[in-house]
Amino acid sequence: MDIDVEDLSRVVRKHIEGGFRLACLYVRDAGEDRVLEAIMVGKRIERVTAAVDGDSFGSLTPEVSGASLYEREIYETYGLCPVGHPDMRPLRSRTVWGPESGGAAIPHNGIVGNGTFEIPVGPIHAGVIGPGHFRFSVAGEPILMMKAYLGYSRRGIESMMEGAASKDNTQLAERISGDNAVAHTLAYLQTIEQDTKIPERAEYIRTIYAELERIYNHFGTIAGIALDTALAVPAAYGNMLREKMLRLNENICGHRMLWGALRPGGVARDLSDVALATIEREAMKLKFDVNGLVDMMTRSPSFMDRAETTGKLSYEDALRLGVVGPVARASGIDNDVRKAIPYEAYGRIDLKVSKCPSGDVYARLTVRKNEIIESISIITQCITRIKEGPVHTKVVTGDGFHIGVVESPRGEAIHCAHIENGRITRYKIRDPSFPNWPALECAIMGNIVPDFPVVNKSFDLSYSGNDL
Amino acid sequence: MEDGLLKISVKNLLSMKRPAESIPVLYSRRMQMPFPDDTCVKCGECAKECRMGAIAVSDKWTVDVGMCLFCHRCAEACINRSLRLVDAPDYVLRREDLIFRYGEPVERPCGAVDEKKRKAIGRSVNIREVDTGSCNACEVEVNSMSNRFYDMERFGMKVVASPRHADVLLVTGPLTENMTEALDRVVAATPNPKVVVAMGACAISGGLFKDGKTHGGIDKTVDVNLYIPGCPPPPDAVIRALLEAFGLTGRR
Repeated sequence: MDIDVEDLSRVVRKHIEGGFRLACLYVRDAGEDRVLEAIMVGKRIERVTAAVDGDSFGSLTPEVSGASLYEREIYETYGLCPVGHPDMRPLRSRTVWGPESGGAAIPHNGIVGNGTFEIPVGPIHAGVIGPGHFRFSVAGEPILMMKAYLGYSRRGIESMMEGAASKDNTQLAERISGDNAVAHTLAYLQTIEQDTKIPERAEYIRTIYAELERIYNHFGTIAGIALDTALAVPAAYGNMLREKMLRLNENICGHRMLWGALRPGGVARDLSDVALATIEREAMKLKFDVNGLVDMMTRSPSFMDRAETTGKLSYEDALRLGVVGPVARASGIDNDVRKAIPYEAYGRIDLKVSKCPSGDVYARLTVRKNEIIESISIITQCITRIKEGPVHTKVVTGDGFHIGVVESPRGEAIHCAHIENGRITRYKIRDPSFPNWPALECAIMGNIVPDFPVVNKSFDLSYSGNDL
Repeated sequence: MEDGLLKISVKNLLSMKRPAESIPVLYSRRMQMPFPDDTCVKCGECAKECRMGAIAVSDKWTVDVGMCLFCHRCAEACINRSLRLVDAPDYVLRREDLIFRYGEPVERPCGAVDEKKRKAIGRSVNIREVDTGSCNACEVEVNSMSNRFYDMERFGMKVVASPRHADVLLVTGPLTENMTEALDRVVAATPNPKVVVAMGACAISGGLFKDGKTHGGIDKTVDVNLYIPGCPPPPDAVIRALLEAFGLTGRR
């Protein structure tokens, strides 16, 4: 839908009232003009475009909170000013220490007053995770406000994806966020395969890979929650189960994170009957393990004390910020791309979306546990239905706008490609972590500082996917 | 006399053998780099297929394992199947040792880091992992190094929370512009004698991101003592590299 830029706010709001969510907002160059593209996702995908005159446009943020980060990104990379935006801090260009070294300094904008102080953390953390800087404003133990300053992993992937549409970019898509490689690759492949019919066997194999990835990611998160609540035995158990999954991945496709398993037009290698039987056997074994693992945690009163009512993200806040994935489902939002807009083989199999209303660490743990069980069920369904056939076909990529929406382990990953004369002229990636980081800032308010690692881990956000 | 448990585990790690594996290996491309045999006609198909430009065929066939993603697309593209897959080195001490030329023997270079550093560090290797913009995968593998399967603490290696407690900086990622100053400060904050390790293709050469907003490898701004190739290097390869480079396998 092509509209006037003044109407953009009204149209977006009308969509949100109709059950849609602002999933992506970005700018692209169209000849002399610049065009704002708003992608709305609900029961289907809606695209709204509006040409911008001059160097500014009316900000959506005062009415649609979820637009804030996208508008800051547009201001930073394209210089288009969202007039009326309440918070124009730079999003990704920064250093911690000051503008003399090239980037924008992080302001001391904490809450000032008697007995309040500020805790700076990062960009190099105590754990083995990505780089990011956090500022906590605290009064004693409780956190009054937390701000995340990200952008340290900025590598410029979007512009590297541009170029000839026939070029195979799967290796780059795998490295957007290494542990969500299959999901990002599937989203990339959806953009270039829109006019291609993928063989059925390849679709099933892709679905199996996507679910294997979800399982090992969720085990990592559950083990991390256990570790951050000082439960050493469940943490070791969870990491052990994750390592088993990683080894299964390696032994069936050659890479521990399933890199190189997907190719444009299908998959790189067919899975033999032995491989399928192995996956099924290992998946069935996991079913007992995952229940044992989570029971071990929830039977401990000290764990339940840490997990319940900690890091609460209310339904209203989650809706307002446009949160996606397991975090949204743990706050009671019924949102799963696999169900709403089925891709690959998801349209042909039964799938229950697990939901939990309470929005705390325990809810996010429960949703992840249920998703592992659901993934095992999806894998067994795929293995039952898979038939002999080819696993590869030739890809034809047509011009125009193509979008790929995929449910990654962290939530909905969106790739948008504008193809003109066989060349990708604008490529936009939206990792699920991007809308979820502000939700973490919102959920942590009022919690104590020692609970931050637990809450952070239960959100399971990616630094590299956010920074691109 | 029977070997002790520790000795057996060191032996298993060094021979790349994994004990008690219940899942059959159906397909593997673990740390195998391409290398041509005598039938190579230098057609250049492999170099064309390599997204990284790790292979050059101009006058002599060369492969730079510091850039290799171990995707094996070169071997698939080879017209008369003359690219063999051979074991890549776990680690090297100098960047140029990662470049292998046709006609020269492929050796797994051994050797340990500087004697003075090795003495000071001894048998307890304290590691601080620094992410300079990697894609998460190296972090997944570093986390895996301390799980029950690899359990690097039995060899005296552990991950510490601050660079001020560390002997070894395990640096991943292509060194983005935003992380440049942070890495300089971390290296300055680590007490001497320290060992800086570049882990993975990104840290060695910039990987796929060498054309992005990065410096293309951490050795552009800091001195690197050890290079561990791989994308990402599997946990046992990293442990093996550290064990051998610190001379922890021979003694005792």
